[in-house]
Amino acid sequence: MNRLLLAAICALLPLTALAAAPEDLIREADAAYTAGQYELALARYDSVLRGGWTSAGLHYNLGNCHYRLLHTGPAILHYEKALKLAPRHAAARQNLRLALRRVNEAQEPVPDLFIQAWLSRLYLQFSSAGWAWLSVMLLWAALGGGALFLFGPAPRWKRIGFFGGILLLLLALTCAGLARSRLSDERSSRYGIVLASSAFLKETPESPAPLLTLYEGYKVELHAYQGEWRKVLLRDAAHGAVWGFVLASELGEI
Amino acid sequence: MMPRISGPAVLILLALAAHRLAAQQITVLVNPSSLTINDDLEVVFQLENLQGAVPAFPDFAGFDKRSGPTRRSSMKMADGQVVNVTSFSFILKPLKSGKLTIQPARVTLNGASYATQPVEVEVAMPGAGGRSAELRDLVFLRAIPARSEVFEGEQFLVSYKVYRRISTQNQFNPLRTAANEGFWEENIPVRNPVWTRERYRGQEYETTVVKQDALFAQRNGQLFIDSLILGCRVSLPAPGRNTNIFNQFVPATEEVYYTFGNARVPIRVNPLPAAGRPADFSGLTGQFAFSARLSASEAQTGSPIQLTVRIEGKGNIQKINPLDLKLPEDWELYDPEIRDSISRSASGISGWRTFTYTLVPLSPGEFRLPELRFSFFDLNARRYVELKSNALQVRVSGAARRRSDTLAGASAPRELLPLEPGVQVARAGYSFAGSAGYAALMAAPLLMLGLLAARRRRLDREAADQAGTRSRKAESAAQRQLAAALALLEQQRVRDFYAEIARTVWQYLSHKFSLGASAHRRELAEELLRGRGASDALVQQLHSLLDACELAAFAPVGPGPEARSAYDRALALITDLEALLEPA
Repeated sequence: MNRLLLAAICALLPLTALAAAPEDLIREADAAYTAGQYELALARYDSVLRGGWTSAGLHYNLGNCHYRLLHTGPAILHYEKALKLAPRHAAARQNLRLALRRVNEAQEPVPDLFIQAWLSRLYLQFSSAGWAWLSVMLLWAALGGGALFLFGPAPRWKRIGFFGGILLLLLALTCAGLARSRLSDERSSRYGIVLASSAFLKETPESPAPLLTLYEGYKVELHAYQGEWRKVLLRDAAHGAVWGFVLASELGEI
Repeated sequence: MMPRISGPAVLILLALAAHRLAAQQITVLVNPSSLTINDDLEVVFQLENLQGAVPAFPDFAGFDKRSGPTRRSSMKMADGQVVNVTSFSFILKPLKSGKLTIQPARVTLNGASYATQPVEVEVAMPGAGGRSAELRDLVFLRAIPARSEVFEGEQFLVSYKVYRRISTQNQFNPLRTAANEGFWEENIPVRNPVWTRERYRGQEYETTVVKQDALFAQRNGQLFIDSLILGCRVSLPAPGRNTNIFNQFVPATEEVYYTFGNARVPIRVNPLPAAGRPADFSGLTGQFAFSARLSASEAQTGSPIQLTVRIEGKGNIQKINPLDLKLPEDWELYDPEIRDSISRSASGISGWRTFTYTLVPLSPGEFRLPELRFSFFDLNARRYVELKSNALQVRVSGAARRRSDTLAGASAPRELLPLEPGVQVARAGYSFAGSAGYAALMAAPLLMLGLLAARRRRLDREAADQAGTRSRKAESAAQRQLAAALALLEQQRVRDFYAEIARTVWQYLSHKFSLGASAHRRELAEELLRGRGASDALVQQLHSLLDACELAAFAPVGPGPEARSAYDRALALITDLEALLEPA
């Protein structure tokens, strides 16, 4: 009996420790950052992250710590992670721009087609949660339309309820689809940031000579995992699209 | 007597002479020497044995410099001597036709100076050849400014219009765009050029606008709208070719390539009046509106708020610079983000520009920011206008903070936005879109819609059932009512007795046919009964009973056997109707 109790306590102990920790750690980290002790702040925020917690704000603060410590690659990585969770985080976007200015003048982004840019901006306007809430609201509004159709006092109201309800239902389903798609984007790593000061992009892992040298802060599309190598696609205005392999240890995944 | 010279001395003298002969010189090469206005001209200045010297190049008047100088060095052997050659090459594009001169380039080295010869280049208009003169009045281009006198910074439209009296291609190749010196220009897209008829100098022409620009004069004085040069194929009647008997009546034509440009148009640019010019005049002319807005009226110390300034109107919007903000001293201010929306149409350039400033208040209190001012020259009213923003007020709460994020020193970025204190965190991997709560919130309205639909159906069925029940119970109700009528008869209330009988019949019918109270009409009842296959005798039976009832209402009758028979007839009628309407 005693042994069973002990086992239960042992099993629950780490959970309670984690549950209590983050607020305190964040408070400590905020204070350290304000005092200019960026390394301490970084360590505290990092332990919150390691404890299995996350948020756009946490990554944003981590990005600031790294930026202050002149770790520009990791700063870029964390700002990108913040933006992945909250696409409209204006401060993260601003600081990311600043961090990018520090490193990779060489990688010019490929300009998107007008329509594509417009659509992707709309898509990125909300996180998966944002699209999900939007779909919930639209679906409930569609229910209102349905109720109007079923119990409307006059044929005119019934008609409005019917067509309005169908329109809202279609919109709700579209938003639900976008939420799903955003969710799968958020759960997978589609991009990587070069963290090493320079990294070789090789045609195959065995190639002796690199195709290109990538510098800290470069952003690449992740396409496959192959042992300690990652198959990536580099897009920039100077080279167009280049496929290759980069060592996993030199990349951070967004 | 010849001086005697020793062998080695001869060799040394020869070497010295050769050295002097390996001449230092600068030459110019042009390629090609005659060209058309569409062609590029390559000009190369070659320096021999002038290492390290860079010549002063001419200003290439009459040409547009496309590239250069491009420097190349090489060595060559000439007469057994090594010659060091450095060349500087330029690519030029002629701006006009005729004889153009490349002025000399000069170079000085160790006190000696060298120069090239001036070179003449013949620039021809392509195509047309000898027939240009003849075409001058048949196809030409005019630049038509909307105004010939403007204010500095005022926008006006210039339309380039082609006039033609012979058939030409509808596509014109711009061979050279107008270089409008002193103007800032915005191209206005011309969609679907349409040819219209126009009288010009007593002649009928077809005209179309090929290009339209909005120009803004950048300085005052006399400025010119420059020539735009176009080229196209034109069809001319061929001279002396009409000899063939078969095409005698079809005028023979000849196609030539013709280039033409507009004449330069002078524009008088007046300076803006000095009187009443505000100290912080933005230099803009046009019509503008202006607003400023804070993203929040309450803020926390250390957390950013946005100040958005929006300037909207007609004029040179892209030239608007960020406004000068005067903030409380211990606030942080970051560079503004600039956004534009510019529309270019035949009415000119208009649109808006916003500046979004990020401010970080660091001390608590109630702040009233100094109002923002924006000034411009109003062209309609011909005076300076100064606009002021509405009062910007913000209440800042929280503890005073120091500028932790604004490090001194050049290496530190002054724009890094501050930390987000006390961030909220969530379990990694949790996402609302993937949660059971989301699924429930999405499923619930669908479920409720199902329930509502089911409820609607039940209500409909109940309404239908009610009608059915009334119909089923109609006969027994009628029987009960007739018994009540008989009781009335026994109390000698004959009139009431008849009324009750009539009411019984009508009520029975209305239950059967779901007739409303207002539908007590015999014709309708008869029609409905016949529709259900009632015989004439049955309909007659109904009518005679109702007649008797109506008669009794006006002419009193005694409680005799007649009344009794009315009761029997009513009973029989109900039974017969029931047999007809509810066959067992």
